[in-house]
Amino acid sequence: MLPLLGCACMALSALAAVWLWRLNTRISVLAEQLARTAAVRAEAQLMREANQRLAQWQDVTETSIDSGTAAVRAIHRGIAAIPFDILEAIPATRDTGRVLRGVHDFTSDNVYSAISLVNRLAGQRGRRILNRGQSRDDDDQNRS
Amino acid sequence: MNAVLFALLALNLVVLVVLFWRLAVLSRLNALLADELAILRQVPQDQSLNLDELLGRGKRTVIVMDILNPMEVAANQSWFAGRFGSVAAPLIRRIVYEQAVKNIHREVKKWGVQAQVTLHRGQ
Repeated sequence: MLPLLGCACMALSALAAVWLWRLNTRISVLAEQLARTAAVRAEAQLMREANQRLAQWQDVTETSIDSGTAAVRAIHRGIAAIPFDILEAIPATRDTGRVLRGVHDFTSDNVYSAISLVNRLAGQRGRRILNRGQSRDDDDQNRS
Repeated sequence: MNAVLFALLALNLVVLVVLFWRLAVLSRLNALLADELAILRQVPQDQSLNLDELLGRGKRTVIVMDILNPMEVAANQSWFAGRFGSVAAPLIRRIVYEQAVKNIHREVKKWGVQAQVTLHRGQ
């Protein structure tokens, strides 16, 4: 009876050792995969944050330029109106003053509108680049 | 004497049974975790490189390094990469890999290892 029990114990111990070794291997593989997944996700999160930050900067810059242009336009109009008002107050130069004011306003409006348009187009282009960068990055990561 | 041996062996058997039970529980938990991870890793970028497909199977042994956080490395090394890296991610990744190759080459030389370190872009 004793030898039989001894043999059974030895066989079961060997079986347990093999099982433990296999389990250990599987857990090691799993840990490696988990580490990879964590790293890949952290990297993707970093990219998303960087993109969001750039998008915010781009938005703030676009708004600032737009507001700045509007402010300069208003100040310019106010300062330019002074000599034109003086010219228009004098009967001899009234007509010329009106023509000059019209030409000046038309020109300055066009210039400021062009600045706003360029700013908006630059903003759209910037947003497109950021979106493309994000999608290209996703594609690139998908390939890797 | 026989009774003592018998008792010890019986105790050993009990311990082994408990050990098997614990191993079975661990195996089941491990399988559950593996299933969960498999679902999580369905996102393509989480897949490990299939080296068998890439290199085939044979007797030659090589070391493969897959940098998992190139943008983080670049951001730590350069202010520009940290702020604007996301716009030019492929370029930044390429620079990080090229720099890594140079560094590895330099470092292994210090250990007296003659190695050919090359960069390869797989699928």
